[in-house]
Amino acid sequence: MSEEHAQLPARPALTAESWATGYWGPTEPDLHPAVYAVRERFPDAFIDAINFRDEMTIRVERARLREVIAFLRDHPDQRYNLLTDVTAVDMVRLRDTPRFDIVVQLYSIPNRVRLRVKAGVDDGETVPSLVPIHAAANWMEREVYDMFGIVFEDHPDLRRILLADDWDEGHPLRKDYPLRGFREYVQPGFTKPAPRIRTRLRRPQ
Amino acid sequence: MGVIDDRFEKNILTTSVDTVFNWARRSSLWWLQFGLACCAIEMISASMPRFDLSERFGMLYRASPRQADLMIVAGTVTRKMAPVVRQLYDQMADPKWVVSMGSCANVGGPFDTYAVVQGVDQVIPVDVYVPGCPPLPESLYYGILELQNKVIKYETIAKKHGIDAADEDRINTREEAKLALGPRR
Amino acid sequence: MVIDFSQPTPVEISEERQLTASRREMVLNMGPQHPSTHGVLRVLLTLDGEVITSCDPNIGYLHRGVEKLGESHRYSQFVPWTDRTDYVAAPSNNLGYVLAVEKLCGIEAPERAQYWRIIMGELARIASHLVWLGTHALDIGALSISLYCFRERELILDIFEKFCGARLTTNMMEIGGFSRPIPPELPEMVRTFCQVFPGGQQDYEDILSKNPIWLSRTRGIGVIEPEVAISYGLTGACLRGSGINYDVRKAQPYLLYDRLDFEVPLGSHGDVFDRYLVRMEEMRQAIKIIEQCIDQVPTDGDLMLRGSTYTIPPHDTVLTTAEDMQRHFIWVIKGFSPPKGEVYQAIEHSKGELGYYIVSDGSPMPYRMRLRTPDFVNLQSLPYMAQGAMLADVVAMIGTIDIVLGSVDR
Repeated sequence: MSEEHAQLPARPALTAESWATGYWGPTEPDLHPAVYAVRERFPDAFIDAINFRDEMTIRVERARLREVIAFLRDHPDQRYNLLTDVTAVDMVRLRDTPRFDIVVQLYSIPNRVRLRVKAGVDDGETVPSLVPIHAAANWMEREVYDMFGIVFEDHPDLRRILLADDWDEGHPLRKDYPLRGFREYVQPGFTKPAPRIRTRLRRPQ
Repeated sequence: MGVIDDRFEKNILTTSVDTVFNWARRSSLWWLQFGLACCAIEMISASMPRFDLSERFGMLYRASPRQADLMIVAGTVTRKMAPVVRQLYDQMADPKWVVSMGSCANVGGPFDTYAVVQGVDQVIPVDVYVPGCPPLPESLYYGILELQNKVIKYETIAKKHGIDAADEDRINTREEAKLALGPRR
Repeated sequence: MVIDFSQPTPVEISEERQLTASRREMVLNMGPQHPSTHGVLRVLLTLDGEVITSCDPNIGYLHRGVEKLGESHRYSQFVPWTDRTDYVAAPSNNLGYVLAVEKLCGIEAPERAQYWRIIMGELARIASHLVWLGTHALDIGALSISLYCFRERELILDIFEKFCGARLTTNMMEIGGFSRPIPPELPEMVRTFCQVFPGGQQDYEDILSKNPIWLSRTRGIGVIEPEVAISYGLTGACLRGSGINYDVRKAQPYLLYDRLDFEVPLGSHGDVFDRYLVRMEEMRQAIKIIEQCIDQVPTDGDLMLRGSTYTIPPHDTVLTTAEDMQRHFIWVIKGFSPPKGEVYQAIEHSKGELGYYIVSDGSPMPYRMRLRTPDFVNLQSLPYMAQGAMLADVVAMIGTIDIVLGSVDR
């Protein structure tokens, strides 16, 4: 990926109503207007742009993620105003650092085009929260925190959402967490639960 | 039943009286409206015009556990929900029965994961298990009919000898409550 | 457990509760078991008299770890778990997943299979809206509507049962099409349903749409402005009820929706009544789509893509040729290995935009399986709608978002 910010490729042309020629825009990263705009505005935060099966993914630095998303929302031509999804992927089996990838899926209602923005996060690092930009990010970031343990800065109410508030066994969607968990549920005061042939752990006597 | 409950040894008179009480009970089971997951939709379908579980069997759903005597656990019991299930079961008044509907409530179903209790019988004692994923409303009928066969044999004024897990649970709590209250005046 | 009745039980009031008591506010718990919460949803309402000052939905009581299950099972094995997320419209969930995997592998199902997928998807949409209307009306107080809706829903479940054997959790779509033949009486059943259903829908409209009680309980309640709706990421009828025209079938058509002629209804006020009207009209448009598909569907032709490593080989060649038998064995036992990469495929589910984000590392099991469910995002708007509303309207608001807790919690 070329890093010379001074020689950007030629500015791609925009059509009258929507510049999108496909569901995700042009398949060449050099011809994609959003890629061009992000690379022009954030030359130090932009890492690269990849296209797979006609889907455009932009990779940026994690510290500038909120500014990039706000820029994509407020830009008069891009207008990615619908936040479709905020999620994370634990990349520990595919690469060494950074451990997680925060994945943000965006959609532009006026232009009818989608975009994906990714940022790499390491274990223990925090990510700027997208709640000031899109209110939809609130519960999505809570779920990412619940499942992966990634903390979002400036989130108004970061607590567990899908698991119980006092869940002390870790963050389940990490790759080192077993599918069946660590403990079984024991109902206090119930003396005769039905026996199970295949148990994970022995019930305390 | 108060004074005459759990009082007499079993003989011809008590069994006849018990049969009358139990016939009344099984013909008017009031179930707790408690659907958890997909099986709840089949339970609702079963009480709707085509299958009509409620009107034909005298069953009526009640929103409050204090007014219900049958709890159909329809759906997956997660570890977050299990204390709630137990609390609802404890709030129901005796005699109470539990039907575990669907494979999630029987043994955890297709979800053998960190968050799912593998069967509601780890939390509350169960009387009838209805298999299926989800069970057809006809299967739920069969389960309710089996439960009615069980209800007709329930020992009301005769002393309870603990036929199954639910009865033992009742006996244990009843014995402890008797000890706590002191001798009968 | 020994209960000691001689001493009164000491009650500790936490500091937070003391503060709310002095502020005239009360915290009311609409607990996980409640007839109106459509499943196990817990809503903590802070009330000042009858007026709600804040609302905090607690979800997770049906979290079953479906995304983690996807990481340890093969692509073809994952289809049954997609049924159980949104269990009232199971074929739509299957459809979204199967389209995502097909996009990842770069294959496409044959035309006849695509028509049948559209038909089954639209039937699922109608089934889901019927459950929505039945439970929504039941909560607001129109008890007979629920009986009528489920009467029509039984007809749809009969069609599903004839097609794939199961009423509710259908598991009908497969990667590449359908591997089982279509029963010969099925097109006639679907045509009969299309003739019978509008009469049933007219019943609901007659009872509800001009009913003064229904109007006073749904008009002006739960208003969401268009900019707020976009900011909250709402999709589906919640967004279209506020006037924003975004339907994935029109904006980014999948399957054969660009060949079909249908309209997308839009509301104007963004209240509960508008969303009700939008969903009723969506049911009518779904019948229109099904009728067009039944007329256009080819009566013979492949239902499953042949000759691809990613699809199950067809029955006749498996039993007669050696290489297809080997391929079948390997496909079932080991699975197929799609290319490395990631895809996001969105479909228009009855509740909104259902998206599957699959990350593949080239192995037969997905590396990450993310379900972007519409209810999870739509439910975030409940605190916004309930702010300053009356307690009795919270039930109408929960009903209008149209949540299914299996889809919210996954």
